[in-house]
Amino acid sequence: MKNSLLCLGFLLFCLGTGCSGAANQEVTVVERPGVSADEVRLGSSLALSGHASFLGTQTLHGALCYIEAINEAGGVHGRKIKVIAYDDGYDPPRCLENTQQLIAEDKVFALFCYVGTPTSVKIMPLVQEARIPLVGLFTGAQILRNPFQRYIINIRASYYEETGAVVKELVESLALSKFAVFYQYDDYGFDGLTGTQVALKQYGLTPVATGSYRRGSLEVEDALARIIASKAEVVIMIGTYEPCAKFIRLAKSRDYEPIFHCVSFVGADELVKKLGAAGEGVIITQVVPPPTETLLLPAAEEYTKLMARFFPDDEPNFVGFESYLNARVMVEGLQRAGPDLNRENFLDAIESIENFSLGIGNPLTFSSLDHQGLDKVYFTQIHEGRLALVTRAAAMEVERVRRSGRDR
Amino acid sequence: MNRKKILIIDDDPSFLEICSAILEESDYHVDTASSSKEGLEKLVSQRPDLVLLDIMMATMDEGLSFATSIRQREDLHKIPIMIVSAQPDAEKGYQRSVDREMDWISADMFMEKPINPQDLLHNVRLLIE
Amino acid sequence: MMRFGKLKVKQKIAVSTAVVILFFSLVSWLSIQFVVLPSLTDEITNRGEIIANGIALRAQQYLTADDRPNLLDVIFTEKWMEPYLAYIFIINEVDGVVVHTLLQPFPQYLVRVNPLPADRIQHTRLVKTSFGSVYDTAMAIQEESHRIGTVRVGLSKVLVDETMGRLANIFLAVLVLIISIALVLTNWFSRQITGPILDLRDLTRDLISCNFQACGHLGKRVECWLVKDCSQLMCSAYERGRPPCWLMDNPPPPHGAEVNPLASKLEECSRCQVYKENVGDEIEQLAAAFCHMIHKLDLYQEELKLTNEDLRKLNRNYMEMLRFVSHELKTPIANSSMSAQALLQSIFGTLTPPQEKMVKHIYSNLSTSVEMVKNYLDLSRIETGELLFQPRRLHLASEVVAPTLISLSILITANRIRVEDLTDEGLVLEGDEELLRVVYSNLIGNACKYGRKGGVIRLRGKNQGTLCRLEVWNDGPGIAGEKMGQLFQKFCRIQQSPEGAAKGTGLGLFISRTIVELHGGKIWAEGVEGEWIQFVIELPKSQEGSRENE
Repeated sequence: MKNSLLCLGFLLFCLGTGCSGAANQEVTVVERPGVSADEVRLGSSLALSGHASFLGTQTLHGALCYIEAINEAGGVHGRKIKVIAYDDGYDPPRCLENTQQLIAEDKVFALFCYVGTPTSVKIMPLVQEARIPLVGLFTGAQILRNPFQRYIINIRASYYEETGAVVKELVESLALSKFAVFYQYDDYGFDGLTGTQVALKQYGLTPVATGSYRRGSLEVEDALARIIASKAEVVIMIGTYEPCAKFIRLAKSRDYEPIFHCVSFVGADELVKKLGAAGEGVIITQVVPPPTETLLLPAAEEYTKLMARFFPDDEPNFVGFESYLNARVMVEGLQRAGPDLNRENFLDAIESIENFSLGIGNPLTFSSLDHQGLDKVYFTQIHEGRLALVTRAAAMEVERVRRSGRDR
Repeated sequence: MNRKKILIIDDDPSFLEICSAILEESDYHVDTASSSKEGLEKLVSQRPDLVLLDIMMATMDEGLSFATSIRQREDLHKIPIMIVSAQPDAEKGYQRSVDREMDWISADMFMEKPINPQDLLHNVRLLIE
Repeated sequence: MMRFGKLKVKQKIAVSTAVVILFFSLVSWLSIQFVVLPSLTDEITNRGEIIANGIALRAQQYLTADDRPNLLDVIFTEKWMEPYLAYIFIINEVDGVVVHTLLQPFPQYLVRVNPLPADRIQHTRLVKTSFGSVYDTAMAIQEESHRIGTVRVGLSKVLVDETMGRLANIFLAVLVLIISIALVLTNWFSRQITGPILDLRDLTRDLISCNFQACGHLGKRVECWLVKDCSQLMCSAYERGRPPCWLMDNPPPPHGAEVNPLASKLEECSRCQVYKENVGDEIEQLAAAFCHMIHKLDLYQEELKLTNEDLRKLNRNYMEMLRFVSHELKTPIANSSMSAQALLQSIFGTLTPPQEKMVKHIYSNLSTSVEMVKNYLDLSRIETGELLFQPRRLHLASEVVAPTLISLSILITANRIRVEDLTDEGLVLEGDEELLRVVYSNLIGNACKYGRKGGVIRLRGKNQGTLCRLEVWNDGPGIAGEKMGQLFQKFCRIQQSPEGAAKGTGLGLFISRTIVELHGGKIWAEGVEGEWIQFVIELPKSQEGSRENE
């Protein structure tokens, strides 16, 4: 038997050496890209033109106004922040191209101020591969949050949370049950739709109708017809300002007046402008408080001041305000990471932020398992051509307004 | 009469006759016995001057032990004994016992059959005188 | 190799099997290398080509429109779907890089590592890059048979290595499994072989230790009807349907069946067809034959015992006869001799010359008889082992030679022999006086009888170191050379003269030699035929160690 054991041992040895591990995948990049002694470079690809240009522009301006102020004051640890921004027109392939450029050629330290779900989702694999932080995205898509990813830092609450909040409010306070979903036919819309379905399922409900439109188009008629036919009491809208505005106006012109709700991505300010009087009573959930509350919120005050200084042509708006807050977080992260800045310790620094006050009455918290800083959803409602913050109790008021509107 | 008496003890009757004849020619008085028992009786009653003894009678060493017992008797131990035997080994046995200095064994002489009559007469004369 | 020879059969078989398996696995591994590896390579090449083809088709429209974002979208989508893709890039017709999937500045050398000739649509080649070994596929992007660009897809060889690694693991695992199973199976099989062999070995051991009874069974129940010729239908063996043979099973035979001896039964069995079919493999047949042999040997042994018994009886009778002759016969002869001698010695008066002559004859014949009887007596003593050997220190001349001459004086004078006794007076040795006298008596007697009438007998005896050399020489016809060797054999009687019959018992020299050898010495004869003969004896002077234990 000794011989047999020897044979077996030899074979097992062969087995062990036969197990070759996988080779290294990629060539590792430079240790500290985008960081030099006096500068730290951030990259951004966002919709600076096209049908979502408001979102992109305001995102950029909102962040820049703060960053310029920081640079004026000497930067972070002696480094000035430089933001390289490319226009992707809310087009995922262009976003992809821009991001590759930012990573490979411009060698930015981190990606920042990305706008939109399809675009952000498109470049997610690049972020993984390059191991580059992506901070502050203007999108609440679930896939950016779950499964957890080390390199993506979200600040705003998710669409799930937005839709969940509004569904909860409308079902519990107003006992409404017939919900329809109007959504953009892409990742953004699907995400919102799923969020709504998940929220409704809590109450044993499902959407009575769904309707979609193609991103970049204004073809909302089919969806409208279907939703009108369903006699839904609430229409949750996952879209951008132009198609949503058209939808609402058309609906109202056909005497269809359910409660309209849009998520924050819609671009509330533009929506208000586009709707005019037809916008009365439309609820828009926000992930940041109104920037107009300058008296209450120190952040709103600062944002307004800085915008007036650096971008006087722009009016303070939710999108910009949110971006300003993102920039606050970015700078805080750079600050905490210290002079010996690299991507990993920057992320560690972000994760160390706990109950940090941004000045919006809503503390910012991250951890090694939580890469979403804010969780609060705010309700706003278009009232007499302006966006007003509404609270729960005021949900009753919504009903009253609505009914009064109809009666009129 | 001053004739010497000789007693021959042997279980072979032929030998007894021949020996007696030879000895009587030389003017000896010869008596015979054909068993040790008879021999002993005649020894005691007749007191011969010489005993001729066959070493083997009924059994192998009967003669020897007979000789021994004679020698051990007060009244008989002076009588000279001649042992005759058809076997040469008997002489050896006799010699052995002599060598061992067992003085309760004894014969004074030993002769092997067939016996030369002249030698016999010569030896008898030696022993009796 | 030598160590292999020392292994047991089972281990030998196991090792051989393992070696065979390893050999075949080596062969198959090599063939895998030469077959699977190329096919894997082909697979990768194919995959690369499929990917490149897909990209080429989709990229065509974007390339024409120079739509970089969508080109990027196409190649990145592909890249993210496929693990082990080191790179994808598209070059235009002037080899300028349009888009690529790298997250670093594009290394220009990569363009040149796999140039696609103008006449080919696709080409795959293994290249070494900074990403390791890569299967680079170049696929032309065509617009109406005109090449507008090339897609380059780089599949990392790691894929192949990993697959080969996995294959190797599976292969080795299977190999280990096979070998384990094979070892178990061969172990079992070889036990089937070594089992009967070991039984055979045990049978052999029984045979060696003459344990003929041990062969009770063969381990295999053999059923054969033919031999028995049994018509006993009530027999349990018969009942069982298949023709059985009670013999092999060792139960008691059924009523009415003849009880043949086992051995002959086995012989019949070995010719029986049914038996042959059922007896098992070659080794078991060998064992059966072995058992048969043992049974036969057992029978022979019984016979031998009986013969032995007979021989012993014969021997006893012989001994008995010898004893009778020597003892019982001696007595009347001795008596007669004595009587005759007494007559010759004129004890009973002088005899007339004719009477004397006659009595002399009587005496002489009786002496011969006495001598012959003496020989038989000595033979009897030798045969029964009763010959007493009692050596002691003696003077040869005076204690042995002289008395013997005297006792043979009549014979000597009768043959008108002249004896010259040249024995050293002082010759002393350790020996048995009586036995040595027998020897001398025999030799001198022979010299008288077979020597020249009126001739000479010369006796010599002297020291020779640790030995004594004794010689008995006489002139006369001697012995023929070829008969010299037989002289000392039992019952060897030499025909001296053509007219005379063989004389004597033929025992004298045999007895003499036995006695000389008893002394630790040697005796032999020398001579010239027709002239003289001499017997030489060498005796050790001392008998240490051979003295009787007293």
